[in-house]
Amino acid sequence: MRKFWQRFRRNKFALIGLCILTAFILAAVFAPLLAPHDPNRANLRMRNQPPSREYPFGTDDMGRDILSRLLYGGRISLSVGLVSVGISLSIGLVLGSLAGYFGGFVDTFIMRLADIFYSFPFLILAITISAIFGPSIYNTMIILGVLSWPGPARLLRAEFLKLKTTDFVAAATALGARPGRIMFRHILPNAFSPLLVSATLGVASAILSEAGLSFLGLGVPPPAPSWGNMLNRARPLHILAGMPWMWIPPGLAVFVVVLSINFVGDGLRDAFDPRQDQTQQHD
Amino acid sequence: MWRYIVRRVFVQGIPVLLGFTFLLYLVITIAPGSPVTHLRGVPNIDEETIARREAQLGLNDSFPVQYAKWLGRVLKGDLGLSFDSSRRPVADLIMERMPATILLSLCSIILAWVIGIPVGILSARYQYSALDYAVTFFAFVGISIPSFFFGLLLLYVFALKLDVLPAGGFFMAGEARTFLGYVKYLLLPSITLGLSDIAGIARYMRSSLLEVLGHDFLRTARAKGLGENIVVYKHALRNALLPILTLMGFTIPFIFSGAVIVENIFAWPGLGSLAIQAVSERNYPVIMGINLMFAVLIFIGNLIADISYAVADPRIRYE
Amino acid sequence: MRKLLAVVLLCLILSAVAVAQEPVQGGTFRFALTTNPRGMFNPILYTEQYDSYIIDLVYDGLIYIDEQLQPQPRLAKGWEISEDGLSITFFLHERVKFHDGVEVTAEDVEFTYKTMLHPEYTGVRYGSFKLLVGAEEYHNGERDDVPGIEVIDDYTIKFTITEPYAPLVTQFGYGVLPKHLLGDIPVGELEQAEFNRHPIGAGPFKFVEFMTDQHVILQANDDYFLGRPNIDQVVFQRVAFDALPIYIRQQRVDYAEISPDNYAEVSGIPGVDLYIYEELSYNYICFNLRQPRFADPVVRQAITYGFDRETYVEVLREGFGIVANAPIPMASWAFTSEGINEYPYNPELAAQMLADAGWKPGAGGILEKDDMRLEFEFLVPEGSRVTEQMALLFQQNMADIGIKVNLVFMEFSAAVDRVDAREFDTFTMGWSLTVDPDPHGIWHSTSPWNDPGFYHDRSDELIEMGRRETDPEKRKEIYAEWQRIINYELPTMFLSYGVTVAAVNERVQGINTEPGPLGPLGGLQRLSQIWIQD
Repeated sequence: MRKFWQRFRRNKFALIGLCILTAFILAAVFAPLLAPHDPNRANLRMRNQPPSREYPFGTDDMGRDILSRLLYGGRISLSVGLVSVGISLSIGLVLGSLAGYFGGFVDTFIMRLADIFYSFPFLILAITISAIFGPSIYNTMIILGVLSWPGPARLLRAEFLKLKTTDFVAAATALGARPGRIMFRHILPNAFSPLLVSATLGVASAILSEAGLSFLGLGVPPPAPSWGNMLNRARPLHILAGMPWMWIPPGLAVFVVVLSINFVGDGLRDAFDPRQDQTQQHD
Repeated sequence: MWRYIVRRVFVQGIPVLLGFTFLLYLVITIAPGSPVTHLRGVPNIDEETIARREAQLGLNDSFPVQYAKWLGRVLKGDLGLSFDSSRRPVADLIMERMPATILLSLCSIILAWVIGIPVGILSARYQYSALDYAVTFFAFVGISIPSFFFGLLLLYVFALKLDVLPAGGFFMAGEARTFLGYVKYLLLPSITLGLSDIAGIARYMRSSLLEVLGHDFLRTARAKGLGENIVVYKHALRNALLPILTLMGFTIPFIFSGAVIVENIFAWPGLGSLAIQAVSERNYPVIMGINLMFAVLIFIGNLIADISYAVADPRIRYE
Repeated sequence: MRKLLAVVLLCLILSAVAVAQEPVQGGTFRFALTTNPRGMFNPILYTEQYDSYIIDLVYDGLIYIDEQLQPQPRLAKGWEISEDGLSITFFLHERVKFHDGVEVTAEDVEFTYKTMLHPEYTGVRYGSFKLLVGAEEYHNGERDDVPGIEVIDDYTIKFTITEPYAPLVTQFGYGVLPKHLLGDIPVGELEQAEFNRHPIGAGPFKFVEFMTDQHVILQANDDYFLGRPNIDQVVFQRVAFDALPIYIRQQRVDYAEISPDNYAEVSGIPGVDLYIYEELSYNYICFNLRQPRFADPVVRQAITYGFDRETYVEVLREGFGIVANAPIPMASWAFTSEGINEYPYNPELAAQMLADAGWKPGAGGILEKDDMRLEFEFLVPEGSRVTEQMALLFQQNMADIGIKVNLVFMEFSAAVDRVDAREFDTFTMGWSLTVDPDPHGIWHSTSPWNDPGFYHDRSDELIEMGRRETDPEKRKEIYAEWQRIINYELPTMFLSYGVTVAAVNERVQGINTEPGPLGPLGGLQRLSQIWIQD
């Protein structure tokens, strides 16, 4: 673990990313303490105000404080990212393990199911599902989560296939360990690193997907703020051109957070992958 | 090889497509909203006319019957008639727009490869140099911007402020269809669509090449006194390109999904706006037709990726 | 009246003063569309507004609706209505030709209208003509002819109905179809005809080309019986919604209709004039009167007093619109302001009215009475920025008077589903209205679109009287009384009448610079007279 941290620390980008990410998460958690205004309280006399002492990031077209919305929006955008990855990991973990461990018919069935989900053009299904249940933050999480389980499932299955034939698992089996025990004690820890990497990247892409759904009016519904729907509100060209305070904060927030997550994911990959050490010796 | 392809298509492809269409049809029929909702706005329309319309569209059948009828027609090569007022064959609606979507997707894929691969190579070749850091940074920038917003910014800068490129669309009425014209109209949408792929491929190429460079046979090559350039470009590259080929299969569904949004921003005459319109109007045959089309394309894309992988790597043999 | 004046003034300020000039021949007029037509260019089969643009130019009907919303003769030289109001005879112009050179006769007119009654007709317009004598039997396959449609000679046709129907004449605007091209196609297969994508009519413009999702091109009809249009070409250019302001600014389109939401993006562009006009539409918040808590009109009135609709119009809609208090828009001849309560924003009065009616604050300060509670869902279709803002304002205003509103945003189709199933407390939507003010389709207790569930004997009686009354003055009085009833009962809270902004390039001459509800082009009627002055 210490060695891991040393390797991780060597990647400057990853370290910076981790700090920024921590800051954003803290800001989101403590949003109620930090936000100067109620994020949803409209004040029609203060619409479209540029940044000022009262409103450090200005106000939007409903006279709501952009800083407060940004903080609360961070709560929503980050939890959309985290929860949806949590969902896809849970499904993927269970199905991937089953497929990898049992093989045969179970494997074929689960992998075909993964193919089916993989064939869904993501947005079209997201649009349809969001129409069925009505757009809501929870549905956005579920949609993003349920549609991306094949990724982790495949990863885990591959890890199983690889490790199943290795000596220590064979030895454990020979010693009479039960299947469940083998899975949890021996295989899952080995699959941990690639899963963690793919999960970090999953969080980043879920945050972007939420923004994309917002563009189609299917993300987190108003009046609750998310970075995606804040960006979407800034679509008209006169806002884009004349009121940059409405889109720079959420745009920058999405960008910086996704960037940080990617850096962290990259750092994790390098830190987990000892081969990188060899590579670097040549330089 | 042929046996492998046949097996992939029949054992894997057909069941997947069946399962996929079944689930999708189920989802869209239980969705609230009806294909006749928009008739509400027609003046003096009576309930009888709406009931007739529902019967005409086959909406009175139960879900299994509707799906069976749809599947039966599809097996005969008929995607059915669109539910909207034009009542045109779904196949026509799709074929009219397909070329534009494929053109856009192809351009953005090509753009991603033509830019992404050399950038990735340079970045690996000069690892930890200023160039590498710059490339890495910009690659991450590319992955981290929501595409719709990037598209809007491009529109704002290049169409409105600089006025050098059209604000979307695909040739004005009466405009000559020159090669330059195609470039002009394709540039902004394909950059928007390809941006995250450019970044992804550059990153992937970099790490793939770095990994190969660590292998023994290259150390041997270096030891034999071959110059670093020859080592990188001649020996390492071929091996590093392999994993990139599988990446192609992976990116195809994302390109198509992304096209829905990009086509909307740029009024690109492809399948994107048809898809969104069809979903909001509950136009079942069109939703099914487009999704089936995409699913088939994604399947073919994956197949091609796997086959090219096998062709490029003599160690892999599909039985 | 004060507000009407305000709108007229606004129009005057914003419109350029048209200089009287000689029309110039030639040029292309580019009309921006953000949604593309479906390609059903058949007047009796289309349902989408965008298709109707092309249809209006390619076909001519017996009559057309002028900018004062009155029917005027077009293919018909004139018409005659019988004393009993039950039959109408049209006299056609002679030697009018379809674009393929064949003459338009009464047979074509008969074909057009009879097809809409045919048992196998797949379109949605039968409801407008089922009053014709024999129409129902013919439609149900019980007889082979329609006695209510009678061709007297090549240029005379007579329609007879079973009971007096005041809006009758306005129903005859449908473009006349060429029987010689379509007569042999079985009616059930008409919607599949290639003709629908390459229409041939007798209108001022000929159809040239439809490129899916790109454009439609029409060309001046040299042989148009009222004289060739001044412009050579009309192009309907599809433009991305987000890019529309860029197209207007760069003068790549001559005309675009935009929602007031986007006014800020197009104001102040040199060379482009903006015209604001009131449409025949309104939006509203509908109460579900089937629920006991909304049954008392006092509750509806109090809620209306408690909602700051002036701020909604003045601030959220940037002043585009007029607060509505009854369902007949100001632009209609049947509009009245006499005896109409304007329900000005007055939260104190609203609270007082509710208190007087026995509502008392309960848990959480929310008003209660017996086992009823003023906490309800407000269904809001997604997609419009201003509607979303309105919903937030409504929620805040209601909270001030002890009413809790829970916002439910929904995709439009899904929202309509809930409304149709009557599974709603309140919702907001809008109605676009026909030229004739007959409210039967929306407000009669037998109408399927009576969403609030409004059953009122006097209202029904007046609606039926208004349909039968052919004397415009008497009809106006009937509708005035009816509006006063609705204004008191408020089965829905009226928000504002619809307003559209048209952005028109200065080079376009001959438009109506003080547009009525049909806009600066008078529907599209003026396209055959406008010219391009470069």
